[in-house]
Amino acid sequence: MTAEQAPALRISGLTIEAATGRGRQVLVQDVELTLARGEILGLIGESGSGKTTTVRSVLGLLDRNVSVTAGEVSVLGMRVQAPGVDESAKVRGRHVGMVFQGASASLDPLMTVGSQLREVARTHLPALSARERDERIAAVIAKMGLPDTARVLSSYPHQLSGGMRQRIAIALAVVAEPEVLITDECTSALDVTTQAEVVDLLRGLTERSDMGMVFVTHDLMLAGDICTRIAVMYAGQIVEIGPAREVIGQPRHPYTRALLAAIPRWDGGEIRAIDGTAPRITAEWTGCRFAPRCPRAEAVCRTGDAPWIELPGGGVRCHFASGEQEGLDVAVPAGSAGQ
Amino acid sequence: MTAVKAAAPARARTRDKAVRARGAGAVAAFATPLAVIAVLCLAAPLLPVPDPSVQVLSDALKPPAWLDGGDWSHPLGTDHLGRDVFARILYGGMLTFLIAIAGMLAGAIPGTLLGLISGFYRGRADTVISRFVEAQLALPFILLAIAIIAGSGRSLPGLVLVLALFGWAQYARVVRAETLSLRERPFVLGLRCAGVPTPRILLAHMLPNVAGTVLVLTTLQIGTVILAESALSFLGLGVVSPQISWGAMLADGRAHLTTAWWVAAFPGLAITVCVLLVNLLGDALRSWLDPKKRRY
Amino acid sequence: MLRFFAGKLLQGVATLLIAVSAAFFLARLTGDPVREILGDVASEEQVAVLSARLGLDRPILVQYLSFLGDLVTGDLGTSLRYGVGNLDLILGWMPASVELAVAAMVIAVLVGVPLGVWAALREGRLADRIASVVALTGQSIPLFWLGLMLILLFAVTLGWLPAGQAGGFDSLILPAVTLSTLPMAQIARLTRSSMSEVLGEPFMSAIQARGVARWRAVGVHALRNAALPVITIIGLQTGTLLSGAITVEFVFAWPGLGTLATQAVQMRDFSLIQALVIFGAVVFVVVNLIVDLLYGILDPRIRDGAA
Repeated sequence: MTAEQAPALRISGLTIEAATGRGRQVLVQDVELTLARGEILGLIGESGSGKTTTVRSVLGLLDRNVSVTAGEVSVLGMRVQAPGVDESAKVRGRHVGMVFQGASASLDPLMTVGSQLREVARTHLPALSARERDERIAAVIAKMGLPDTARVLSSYPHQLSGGMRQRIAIALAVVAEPEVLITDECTSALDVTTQAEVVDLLRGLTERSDMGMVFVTHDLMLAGDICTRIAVMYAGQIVEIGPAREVIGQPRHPYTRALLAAIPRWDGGEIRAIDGTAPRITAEWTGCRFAPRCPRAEAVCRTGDAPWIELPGGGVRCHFASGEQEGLDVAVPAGSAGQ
Repeated sequence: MTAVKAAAPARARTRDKAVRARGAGAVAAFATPLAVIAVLCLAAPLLPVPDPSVQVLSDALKPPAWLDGGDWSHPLGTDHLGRDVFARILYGGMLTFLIAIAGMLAGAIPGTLLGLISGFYRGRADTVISRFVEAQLALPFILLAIAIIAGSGRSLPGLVLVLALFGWAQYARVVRAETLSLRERPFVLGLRCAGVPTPRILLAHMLPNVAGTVLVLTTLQIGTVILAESALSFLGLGVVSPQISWGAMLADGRAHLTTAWWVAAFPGLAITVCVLLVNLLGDALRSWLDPKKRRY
Repeated sequence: MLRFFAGKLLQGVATLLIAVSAAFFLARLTGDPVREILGDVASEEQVAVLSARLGLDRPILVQYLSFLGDLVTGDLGTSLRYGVGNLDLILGWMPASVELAVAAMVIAVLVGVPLGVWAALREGRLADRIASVVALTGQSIPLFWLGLMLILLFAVTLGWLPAGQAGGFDSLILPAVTLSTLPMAQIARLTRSSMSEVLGEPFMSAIQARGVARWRAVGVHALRNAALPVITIIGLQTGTLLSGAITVEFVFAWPGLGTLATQAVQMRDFSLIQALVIFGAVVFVVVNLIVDLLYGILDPRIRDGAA
């Protein structure tokens, strides 16, 4: 498969484990994800679901005691991660950009914004002259919707507002025009207004280019707003994946349904919390991982691993997915990117 | 925003317990040899060792037992007056430890109190105390010690006073910082709102909370005070004959360095080992009491 | 920025005032210096004459004010022993101490900083723990004893280096190495912990994620962020060393301020001793100010009052 034909990002059968003081913990199990060019894939999950570990593995940013034990990650057809193989350095910044949560988390506090942008540009665009790089940087700044380029470039991070810092973080991730952009909860630390602006900005970036985006968040409705497809993770596994409109409008997995039912509604409908906590998975775990908290769980759920059931455009990991849908009164948000 | 019940993970608690158990093990590993040495030194008069002050000039400058000319009645050799080095180390250790503890306490108590006051009341009291703390830290210790001791003559109380001056500022500074942050905690605000008198808040509530930090600092200070006392004694300003401390032994040993290296080597080794143990203990305590602040 | 520096300057002056006053009163409140000079056999008349000559019979407050007045004009008094101005004496003996201090700090930084960075990059592993114990040992050794042992080994037994002030570069080596031990250990430990903290900051993984080369991420970004507290300590230690490393100079017979001080003690030259204390305090405060200024230059957050 040539680079032109290959999907922007392909994760197949990925399993990641951590060696802790109390044995091996399975953080991510058998994850299958494909990101096509120009598409926005949402990755939903609560803390501990493995979503951050999954995306960090693409860039080789795992902790020292964490390693890929099965499966493969490839970017544009190039293998980047496999058991014992870490070639993520090849794609960092150039083909895959990442934006982190927290405005201050991406910027060296002792360097001006301009210096940091120039540093990234120098690393990935050595063929260009300094002036051409500066023009590119100015263009990216403008695309971020930041006025007064000169002032921004000569500022230190602490002199800018949180929203501006987050835009700079995005600028740093895209200045080399990568084919894949991963955003990990990058709007979670912002107020709602700024959050909306940043989301619009991200949407604009992908619309005008071939860049694909993995949008990691715990906020299902926010994902529904911007994503073409959504994948839901629980306890290290993908439990449901499909077009955004369908995952939100007709969720098949009990966890997805529970997430939607737990969202506060403006019409005063009942909020139903999910009892219990996510489990810590070791090699000895048997049965469906959501079974302890699932309202639909039956005996088979505890003894046999939940099978992956392929559906048109996606799939779901549950014993009962092909069965009936409980009528869940959740309105599909207007503006949901359903393609 | 999922409304999943917040996890109060039992697994985190057991993990903490394991870390704390390991921490306690490290503390014990360093505290034990230190305690043994300290006890031996403090109990020196009760031990079956030769009298350290007895001068037997015919036995002068005998080497340690494992070298030619030495024997096991003087395992570490003798000094220029025929006195047994090993016995002098034990007796010297007694005085060294006593002075170190006294000096440390004399600095710790006022230092901690001033730190509490400065951090809690803030405002003018804080400004004044802080300037004094900085002034103390600005004055070169040994020079100041020289100035005081030369002016008032040598004495043990004088030595302890000087050592106290050396340490109080460190306590004040550290305790002030802790108090400043503790002060804003909800439980303290609650106490103040309830009208609890401030001295009581300071002593009954703040003090126990800074106790951990003070304990760590105290342990480390014992080391620095031992070093300071030995430096002063070495210069002839601290402990002098007929009293014995490790620093004073080093002063004697210097004159005979080329002919009888053991007279200087062993006391210095004793100081190094004890201060090292004290420092290791202090670090282990710090890790044990707050794993986040490991090593600094 | 100017306001920042002016504030620090004011603080420094206040500190200095308290420090010199403390030096003044502490030296006087314990015992009678005149008796110390003359000894126990002195007669009352001799004591009175000397007291008057030294101005020690005036009320304490008058003495204090006169003392402050002298300080402002740069007069640190006159040496009882040498009969010349203390300041001139001090400045005369200072170069040797400066030479020793600079040499020691250079060694301390050149060895301590790389050691600390090396340990931080191997955090938690055996190399780190060993480095930590080595550094801790360096902080536990009495410097004058180390000096004696080094003399024993290198000068007496091996004969490689001279034992004392014999002139030339050779004679600087042993005292400088001895003196560098404590600051080296402190610098190594502080560098290690500071680096370790910075390496764990989120922006470091972001920098890595951008594709910046590892050597640049560690050597430029991490090191610069970690350097600030280390620079402070380097400054403070230099300040301490400049006023004379007394015990080390004593052991190596190094003709610097430390030796001047020990001689002053033996001669009961209180005026000189007091002058030395004040000088030490001034040097310390000035070095502190320079370090503060440096900090403001290096960390833009402090300049803007944001940190």
